Amino acid sequence: MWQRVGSRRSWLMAGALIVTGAAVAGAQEPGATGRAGAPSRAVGEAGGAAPTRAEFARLQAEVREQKQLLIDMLQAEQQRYDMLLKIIRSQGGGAAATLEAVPPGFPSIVPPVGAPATSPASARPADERPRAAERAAENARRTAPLEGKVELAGGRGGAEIYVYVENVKGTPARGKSIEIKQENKQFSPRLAVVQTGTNVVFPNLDAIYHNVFSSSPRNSFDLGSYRAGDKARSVTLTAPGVVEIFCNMHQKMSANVLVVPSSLYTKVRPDGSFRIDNVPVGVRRIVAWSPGTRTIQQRVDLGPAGADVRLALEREEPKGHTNKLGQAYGSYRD
Amino acid sequence: MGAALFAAVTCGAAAVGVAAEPGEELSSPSGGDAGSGAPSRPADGPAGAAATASDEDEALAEAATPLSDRIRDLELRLEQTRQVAVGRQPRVTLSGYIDLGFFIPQGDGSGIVRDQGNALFPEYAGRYGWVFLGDLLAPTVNSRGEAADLGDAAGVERFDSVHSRGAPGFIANEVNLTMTSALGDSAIATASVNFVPRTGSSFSLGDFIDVDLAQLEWMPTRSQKTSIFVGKMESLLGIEYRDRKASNRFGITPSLIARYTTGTALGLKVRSKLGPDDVLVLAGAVTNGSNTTEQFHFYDEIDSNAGKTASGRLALRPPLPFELEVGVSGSYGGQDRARTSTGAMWFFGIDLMAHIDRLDIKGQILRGGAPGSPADQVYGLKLHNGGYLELDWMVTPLIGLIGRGEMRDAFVWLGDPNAPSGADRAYLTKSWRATGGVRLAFSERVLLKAEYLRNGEYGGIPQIKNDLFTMSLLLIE
Repeated sequence: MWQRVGSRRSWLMAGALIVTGAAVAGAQEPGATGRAGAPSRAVGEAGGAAPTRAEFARLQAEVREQKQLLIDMLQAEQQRYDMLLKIIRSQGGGAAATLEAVPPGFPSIVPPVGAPATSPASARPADERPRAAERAAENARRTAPLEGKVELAGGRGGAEIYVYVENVKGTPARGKSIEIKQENKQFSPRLAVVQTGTNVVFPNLDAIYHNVFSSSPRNSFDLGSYRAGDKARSVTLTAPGVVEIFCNMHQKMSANVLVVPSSLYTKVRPDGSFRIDNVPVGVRRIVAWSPGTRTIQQRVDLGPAGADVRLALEREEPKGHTNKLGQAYGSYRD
Repeated sequence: MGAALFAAVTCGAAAVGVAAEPGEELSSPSGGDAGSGAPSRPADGPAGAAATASDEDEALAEAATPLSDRIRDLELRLEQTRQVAVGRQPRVTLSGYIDLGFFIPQGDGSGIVRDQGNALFPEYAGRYGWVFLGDLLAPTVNSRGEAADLGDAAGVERFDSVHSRGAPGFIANEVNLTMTSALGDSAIATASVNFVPRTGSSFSLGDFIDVDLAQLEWMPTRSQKTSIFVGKMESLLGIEYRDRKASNRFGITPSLIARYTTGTALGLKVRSKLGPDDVLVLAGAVTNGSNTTEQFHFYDEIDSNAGKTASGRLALRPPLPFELEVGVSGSYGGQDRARTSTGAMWFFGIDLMAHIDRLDIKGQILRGGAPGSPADQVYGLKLHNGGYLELDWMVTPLIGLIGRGEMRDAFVWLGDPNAPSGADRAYLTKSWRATGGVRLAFSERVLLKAEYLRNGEYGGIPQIKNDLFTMSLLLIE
């Protein structure tokens, strides 16, 4: 992601400078015509004659052309990025995963945005670009297994634990859909793991009304009231994290959906161990979570040989939840 | 860094605009002067160009902003909007319903007959002045438990709220207004007020207001599984109190024992759900009086004696493939309306509730007693047995069927039967009732219910013509 943005930003920086320059040039001219009969001080001090309306219009046309050029450049850059992405996907072993951060030891395609303006990306020789793309593709191909162990304080019992890599973004799961039923005043299943972009459908099989909602930050929604026979309503979960889902009418109804950014996740084995293959090398943020715990995160410098990570989850004291208005339900709403 | 770039591009774009029209508002639709005192210019002049430039600037800025930044901004705005929306929620939530009814009683609408000359029960002769047979509240017309008629019992002044005299008729059962106010995340104040339009008398209105709930519920623990209530609050005897309101009740009418368990009393209550999946529910309360219903003989909102009523319930919710709750509950305390605490009023019962697919099964058995207090004109009670079994089945989301079988065996008296003049009166009840009904849920807010109540007697009591058909249209907000 950063690489992509960095590349685009370099082009943008160059464009911005052009536009700024044009703006400054234009600023010295048009005031007089903008205020008929009131020549601008700048023009007067320059000692030259006031520009004609035609000249002013010409200058503005030039500015417009330059801006259009900039937009064209941006679009071209976007196309170039898309092409690069295709190359990476077609060649890379990691397939769906694209890099959000540049792994250490790999030069970026273009200098970072903070690089001196004297060497903008636009100034990069055209023949360097394919090489950069190759490097990026090679970078994406360099993956390693991530192994480790997760412990749950106080014993695991039958709790499900999941581990995922947070800072590797996958292609959003557009078109993918799962179902969480409302049946017998319960959600079923009560736990699901989906990739960002997944559509979650909530059919109500009960004859009574339910109102599914979530107040989880970045994934909040309210599906309103409906019952069996009504069209099932759905929500697309776009942000990674744990989404707590409730019914506004029945306090006991609850479910959790863990939204992961890519296919780089796994369910921890009964002995606490896990392994995720094909993780792009670099500094990775590993997240572990189990229902009833807070997510924990650990940074791991994943080298070509892989890495081993230890994570410890702690159970949270059960916490009541409020209704969709942020108010307590009351004791008898179950 | 992205922000810096965005700023640079935006700055450049803005500079273009400013250069085009120095000192003027680019967004001015007329392109006119923005208070600078400069003369206005023709609309087709540079101002038009400036507007174009402004549009381009926006397009440029939009194109230049990375998509991820824009999404982040949108999400941030969305979250902020959500917070604003939550912050602007009214502190008091209003809800309620309108319950409109129509009923057709049998006979004179009353559920009792007098045992003239103690012909049927001679054993009461000389001990009770009047002996009435049957159940006063059996011909119930609505969820409030009001009878179609209370009959013409001699020697007592009663507020016969419906008093139909056996005629069919429409009735506005009640208009309920419930106010709920969240006091933080862990406390709720609730008030439920019923407006009940009834026939007036002697040039005064018969309409009345009934405050049936005014409570504060505080959940002091993080899990919110323990609640402390104070005020006029729900009962904890059995399970029927949960369905006592028309909007919650599957059918229309309360059971024959609801009069003992569904009243709201003033006091303090603690309720806690314990164990995994709330397998154990414990509740205890101290209240002024019993949980009998307000319009019944025994209710005592403001206590007239020092003996408070203690009540408790223990329920189990075993982990099964379906929902099941089995409970025992009881209460014991100074007799309602008596000036001393010497006589105790008590109730004890067991209850069961199961939810299997679209079928709800509810059952309850109750016993109770109170010695009465002749000096205070307080009724005595021997509830030998009372109970019901109810099946609520949602055949489809629209149509539900209700079936209920129940009985009540009780003896209620006023006065001292051992006194030389005997007691004032007695009500002997050995009743059974079969109820069948239908429920149409047109939407979440519109319900239509109909019930037929087949009332019967046993144990030597003659059959009283007091069956009843009743309907209820509920408009819920």
